[in-house]
Amino acid sequence: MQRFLQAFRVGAWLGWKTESNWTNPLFYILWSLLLPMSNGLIMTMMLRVLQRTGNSSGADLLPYVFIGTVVYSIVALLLDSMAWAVLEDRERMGMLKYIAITPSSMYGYLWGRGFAKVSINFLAVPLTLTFGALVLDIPIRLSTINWPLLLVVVVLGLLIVTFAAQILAGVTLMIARHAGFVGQAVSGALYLFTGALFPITVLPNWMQVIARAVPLTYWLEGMRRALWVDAQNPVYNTGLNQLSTTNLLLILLASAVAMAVISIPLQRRAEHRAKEKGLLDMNTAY
Amino acid sequence: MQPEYAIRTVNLQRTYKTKERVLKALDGVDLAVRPGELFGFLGPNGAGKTTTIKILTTLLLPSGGTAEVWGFDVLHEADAVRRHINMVSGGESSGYGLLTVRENLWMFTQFHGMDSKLANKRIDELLEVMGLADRAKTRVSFLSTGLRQKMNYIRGLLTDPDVLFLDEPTLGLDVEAARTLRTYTRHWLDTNPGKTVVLTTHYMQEADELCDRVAIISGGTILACDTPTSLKYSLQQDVVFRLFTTPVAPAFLQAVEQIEGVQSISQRSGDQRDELSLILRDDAILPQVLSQLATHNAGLLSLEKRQPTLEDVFVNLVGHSLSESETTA
Repeated sequence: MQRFLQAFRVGAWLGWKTESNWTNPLFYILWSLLLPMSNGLIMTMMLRVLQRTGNSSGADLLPYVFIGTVVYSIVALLLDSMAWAVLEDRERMGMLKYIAITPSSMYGYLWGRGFAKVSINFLAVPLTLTFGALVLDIPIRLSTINWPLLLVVVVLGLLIVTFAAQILAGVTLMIARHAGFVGQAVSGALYLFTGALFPITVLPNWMQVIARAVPLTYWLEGMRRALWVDAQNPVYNTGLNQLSTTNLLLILLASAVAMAVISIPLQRRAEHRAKEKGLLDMNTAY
Repeated sequence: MQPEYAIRTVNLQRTYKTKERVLKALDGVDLAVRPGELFGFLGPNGAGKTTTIKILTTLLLPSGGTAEVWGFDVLHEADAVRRHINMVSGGESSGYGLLTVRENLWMFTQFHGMDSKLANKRIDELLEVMGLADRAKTRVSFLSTGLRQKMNYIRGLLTDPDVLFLDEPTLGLDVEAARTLRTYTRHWLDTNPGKTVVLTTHYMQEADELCDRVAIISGGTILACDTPTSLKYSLQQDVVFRLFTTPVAPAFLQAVEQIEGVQSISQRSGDQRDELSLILRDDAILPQVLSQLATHNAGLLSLEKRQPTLEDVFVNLVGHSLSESETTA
């Protein structure tokens, strides 16, 4: 545990230095805010256009879309963070081999890198939600937010995504530079399947089956319930309205445990395989 | 507690399998390096030097045999091995460009769990020794390759490892920087009894000057392992000549190799002339070699009888010079 924490601390420090150090702080804050904000605005505009052309179901899905899109920005960042750290350290910096021969924990280090990326960008989420509440009249009010639920859901969700990110880092250890697209491809696919953009009920039946098997679907639902008092209203037909919040939390907890059970041995296996094939210092140079 | 051997390998093997073929990078390497030694691996590219280092530093798993570093098995006790080692590889521009030199170095001390105050003290000392003190706050991206290499060398020493692996550490360095690095490596060993350095190089002079013992490795096999003096002494009964000639054809080399008493001949082609290293069983064979020169329409420019070098030992063992091996590789 001490080795894990030690490596986590160094990984977080390095992540902070490399993620936030490339431009001046003002530009960085602007960039961090503009990215989720512009995503939210694009989705809002698309939704408004659809509603005006007569394809609306009657329910105003703006809060659903806005919260989903803004919260998902963190998923995409975290999911890709560890795989990106592996690629950057191995191929661009040529340093992964030097980290691998230290007595520290590789997992701790990668978790630290992921933590740094999320922390740096996390502030953008409440700020963008505030922007949505003030400018787009998204019904998020400090007085109606379910804070305890929010806390539990955030922690469980971040754990799930972190373990998933660890699996992607393991995959990246074993393949070449184009593995950089793995994280993006997975987060892109999940964007479709997790109900971030639209309720999963609009998906064909077979896709709904996949969506219900993805833990992040429940995480986004939990986030909406914590932030938006009307999230469970049947009029939105999200496909998860009938699920009680207790059951939703149990699903999230079970998912977090399952992801841990899967990802830790998988990462170990990936590290062993990388050593077996001599991939820890691979440089594909393309 | 100091182990009997800093490094011990028995029948160490490593194969790389591709779709097309199976390549034996190491074919039964046996090594025994004692604490306090500066042990050198001498061989051309692809000989197996770096593969051996990778296995010993726990970056690569062996395909067979056993390897121990500081008494710990690299396969089953990798964490324990890592507490006793560090490594510096040459010829690469690694390092986090956005971090300063000090930050890069400090970060690695933290991976080893060093006290931050002690780490900074050591960083200051080593920056001073390597002439990088005024670059402590410079971002690594602004350093030349040579300065980055010096920084990496400091990184290797910072944690005070029991076994330091230097993989071609002077590759790409200018003469002065290479000399500083060699001198300090020797000094570090002299002032820290029991510390061990494993050096891979393809610079003969570097191995000759620095190493207590040298293993000549080629094709994944150790061909000879002894002190540089003893290796050279093994050729003392032979006679070594250096000839400068007008360019010679491969047929000449083949003809010379057929002469009885010619131990080896290697060629280094230059501008309008060739340099030939010739090892003969005795002086009396030389006229036959010279007559072959005339037969093949080549002219002798100069001839010198000299003491054997490690290069001669290498040629005698491998059958060709290091530069020829690299051209082939």
